Amino acid sequence: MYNHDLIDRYVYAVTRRLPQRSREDIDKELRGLVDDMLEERCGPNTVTDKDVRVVLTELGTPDELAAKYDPEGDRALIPPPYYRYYIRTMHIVMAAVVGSLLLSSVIAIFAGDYKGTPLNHILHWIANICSAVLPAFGAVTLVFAILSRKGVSIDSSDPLSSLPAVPQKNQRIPVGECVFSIIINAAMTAIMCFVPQIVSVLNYKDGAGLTKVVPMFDAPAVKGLWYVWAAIFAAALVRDIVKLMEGSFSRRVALVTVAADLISIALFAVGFLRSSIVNPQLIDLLQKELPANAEPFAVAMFSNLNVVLFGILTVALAIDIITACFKGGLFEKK
Amino acid sequence: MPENDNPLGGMLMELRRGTAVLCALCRLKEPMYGYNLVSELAAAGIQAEANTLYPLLRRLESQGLLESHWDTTEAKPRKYYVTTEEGRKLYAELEKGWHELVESVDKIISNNQ
Repeated sequence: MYNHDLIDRYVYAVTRRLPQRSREDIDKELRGLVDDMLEERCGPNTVTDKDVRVVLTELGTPDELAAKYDPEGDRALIPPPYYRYYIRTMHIVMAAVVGSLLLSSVIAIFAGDYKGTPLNHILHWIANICSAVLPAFGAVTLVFAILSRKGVSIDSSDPLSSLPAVPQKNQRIPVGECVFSIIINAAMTAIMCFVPQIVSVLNYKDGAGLTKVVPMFDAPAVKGLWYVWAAIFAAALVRDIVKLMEGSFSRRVALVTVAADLISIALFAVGFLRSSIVNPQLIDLLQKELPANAEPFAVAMFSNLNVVLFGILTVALAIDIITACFKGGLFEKK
Repeated sequence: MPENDNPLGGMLMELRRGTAVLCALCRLKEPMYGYNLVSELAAAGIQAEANTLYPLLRRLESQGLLESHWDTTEAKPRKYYVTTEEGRKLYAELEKGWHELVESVDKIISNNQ
C-alpha cells in the first residue's frame, strides 16, 4: 500500500496557488494524472511510497506546476524594466527622507528648539523616521505598481510605433535633474509632514539680546494636512519617474507633467490657501516690527505669507509645464 | 546551470517547444484524455511532459480551441478533450505553416551540405 496523504498534500499545494474557479477541476485532473502515471510505472505490481515520490518528483515542485497552470499568477508586482528604476528611486527617496529629518534635528538642536532630555529627543527623532519611512516606501511602491501595470499594457499593443525617437541634444533630460527633483520632493514632504516648525522666516534678537527663531508655519495645522503633502509627493514622483525612464522630453512626458503639475497646483491651493497654517505668533510679530510707514503692499504680503508661497509654487510649476510642453513638441503640429 | 552544462539539451527543447500545440491539436480531433495523449506522443517518439501538456490543454480550452467533458462512467473519472470547429480551422493553418517551415529549413540545411 502507499501513502495517499502525500498525493493529497501535493495536489493541495498546487491548487491553493491557483484561482478559485479552476481549483476543483485541476484537483480532479491531477489526481487522475498521478494515478495514470503510477499505473504506467508499476503495472500489476503494488505501488509503494517510493513510486509515489518518483512520480511526484517527475511532475516538478508544486510551485513550478502551479506556475505552468497560471503563468500570470506569479508575475512580479514590479517587473522589469521598471524594477531597476524602482530600486533606484527607492534609494533616493529613502536617503532624502532620512537625510532631511536628520538635518532638521541638527537644526533644531542648534536653534535650541528642543525640550526634554537628549534621549527624549533621539527617541522622538527615531519615531519620526519610522513613521516617515513606511508611507514613503508605500507611496513609491504603489506608484511603480500602477506605472508598470499600465506600462505593460501600452508596450504590448504595438512595440514598434511606441519606440521613442532618438532625442535631440536639448531634449535630453539629465538623470541628475530627475534625481535632484525627487530628493527635494521627498525632503519637502518629510519636513511638511513631520517637522514643519524648522521652516523659519526670521531670526531676531529679543529684548534680552537672545536670538529667537520664529517658525513660519503652525506645526499642528501643517502636520494635520499630511494627506495633502503626501498626494503632492505622489503626483511629483510619477512625473519624475516618467521623466527618468523616458530620458528625453516627449509628448508623453509633457502630458504627464501637465497632469501631475496641475494636480499639484490644485493640492497646493487646498494646503496653502488657508490662513490657519501660518504661525499666529509670526503675524503678531510682523505687525509689531514693521515700521508704521511701510508700503501697504508689503504689509499685505507679509500678512498673507501663505498666499505668497502658493503664488511662488504655482509660478514654478507653470514654468515646468510650459517647458515640458515646448520641449515635448506639444505645440508643434504632428 | 544545467542549460550551460548541456547546451544541446536546451536547444533541442527550444526546437520542440512550439510543436506541442501542433501535435495536441492534430491528435485531439478524436476525444482523448490527457495521459492518453502523453502516451500517444511518447509512442511516436515525442517526449511531451505531462506537467507541460496538462496546463497546455487547459490553455487551449480557454482559447476556445478545445472543449472538454468529464467521463465518469469508467472506474476512474477522466477529462476528455476534443478540438472545436475553431480549433480544427486553426490546426489546418498551423499544419500549412509547419510544412512551409520544414521545407525552408530543409532547403537551408541541404544547401549547406
